[in-house]
Amino acid sequence: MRRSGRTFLLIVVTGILLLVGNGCSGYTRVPKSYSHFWTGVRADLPDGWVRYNPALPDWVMTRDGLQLENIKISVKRAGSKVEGSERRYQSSMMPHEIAELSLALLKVRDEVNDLEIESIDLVTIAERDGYFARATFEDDRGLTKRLQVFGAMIEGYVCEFWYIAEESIYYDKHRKAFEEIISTVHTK
Amino acid sequence: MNRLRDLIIICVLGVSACGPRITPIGPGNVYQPDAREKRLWEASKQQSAAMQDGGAVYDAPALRAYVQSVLDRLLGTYKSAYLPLEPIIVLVDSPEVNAFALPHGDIYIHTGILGRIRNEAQLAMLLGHELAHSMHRHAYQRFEHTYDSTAVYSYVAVLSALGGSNVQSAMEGLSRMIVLAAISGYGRDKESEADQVGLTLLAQAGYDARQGAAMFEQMKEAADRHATGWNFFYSTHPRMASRVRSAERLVRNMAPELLGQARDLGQDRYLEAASGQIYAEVSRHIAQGKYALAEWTVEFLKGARPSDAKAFALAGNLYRARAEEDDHHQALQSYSQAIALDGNCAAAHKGLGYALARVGDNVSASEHLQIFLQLSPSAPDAPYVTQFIERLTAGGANAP
Repeated sequence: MRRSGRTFLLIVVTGILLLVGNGCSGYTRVPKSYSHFWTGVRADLPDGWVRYNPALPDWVMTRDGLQLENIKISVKRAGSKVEGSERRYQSSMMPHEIAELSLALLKVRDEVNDLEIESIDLVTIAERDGYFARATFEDDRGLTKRLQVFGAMIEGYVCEFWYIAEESIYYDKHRKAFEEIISTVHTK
Repeated sequence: MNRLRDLIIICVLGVSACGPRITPIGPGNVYQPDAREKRLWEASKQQSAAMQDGGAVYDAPALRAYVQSVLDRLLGTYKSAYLPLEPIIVLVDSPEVNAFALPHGDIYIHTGILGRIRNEAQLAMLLGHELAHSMHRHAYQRFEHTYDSTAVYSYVAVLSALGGSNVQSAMEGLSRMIVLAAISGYGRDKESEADQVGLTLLAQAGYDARQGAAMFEQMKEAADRHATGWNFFYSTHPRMASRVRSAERLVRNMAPELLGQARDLGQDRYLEAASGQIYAEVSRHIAQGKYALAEWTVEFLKGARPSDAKAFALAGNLYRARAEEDDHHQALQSYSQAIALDGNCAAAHKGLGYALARVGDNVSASEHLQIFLQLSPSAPDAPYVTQFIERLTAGGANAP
């Protein structure tokens, strides 16, 4: 009994060290595919992109640099606290309610100025109803950014896929990579 | 022995306090800045220009002109007596509850604080307070204090021996530092003085001076509901509760004739000019889950503007987002009231449509969402609403 307790402790400590170590390593090359254990959400990931580890547990990826373009996959359990808010995600949230919340919180971020929402559509993601929004804003360095975001409630988790890139060059340069991720999103 | 020690301390403090008196800028006083104050003003103007070039300015000419007109009313008919102080208003697009004055007079107002103020008299108090910092040359007083009480004086003396440009750069550095310090506020004594001067200016301009104290109460109330501390322009100011009491005491001690003739609240004028900021503030608080704060503002709006459909639509948004017991019923009621006040209130139709869809009343939900589309055909979420209606029409309850 005491032996199994020590083994358990060893596993926990090793796990923490691995997590911390991974978080400290900055960037690592992204694997071929993304998968989320609890929701079963899976998607193919593009070649040549790196993951920004300090953003854990979110998946934040970039090719040329975070400020130029990044893709973020965020999966939050219903009941968990919404980042930047005192609200909690609710499992009964409809796509437009997730969109309203996410876009309103984006608007109040310090580094986001003049957010212009261009369109919001009702779409299907992994066979669930979701939203798809497009918008532009100016960041705190004066760069005009363009974004796409897909979001849906999947198995009691709010899953969102963000693509934010500098508008004039980088947005079009990597848009296809993001679209390929979205086209392969499914649940096992 | 102790008496002798006390006497020595009193003498030392007395001598150090006997610096030249810095008279306020304004009627009855001749303003004579020395080279150091001129340099401070120059640094202040440069800082102001840099901040405005930096893109933080909120581009709302009508709102800015309105706030400027309130400031001009405080300065009164003797504006020229305040020269060279010619304060202008700069609006900053920021949710922070903040305001500050630069040494040369420019007053920066964050849009967040406009969302917390309830009438023109309260705005006048805020402006009077900030104006008082410039009138009473608080930044220059700090400059002189820093210059006298730190090693700067010695450095300058050493640098003087080396050459003029070194002295200049040392003084410019200190000026810049003082200008930046002005942005984060002053000590308790200066803030109290600014409160007192602000209240007097408020009453002299014909505003209800009691609103001066009410403005602080308002900020205290907002902070209490926020419940995360004192993160606004009073962060370095005297604690809010004692400040409210102090302002109330100042109002009580005000000359009766001054208090008697000062009755203007200007609530309608303020809401006409700044309601957009208040609506934005409520929406922000809803997104951030600060429901108590949002509800407090919504209740104020409903009371102050009982025929304002937007206020009722906002109330509906609040209840729909909070989704606690009875909130659904309250949301339906608020949206319906907004529509009763203004049948063309697109936000109310959309909110009511979504609220009805949640309880499976797809027919009524579709009707209201259709009206929303007719009223706002080019809204960014028009495609979503169109597809949502299709789902409601095709699907069962609680679609999609």
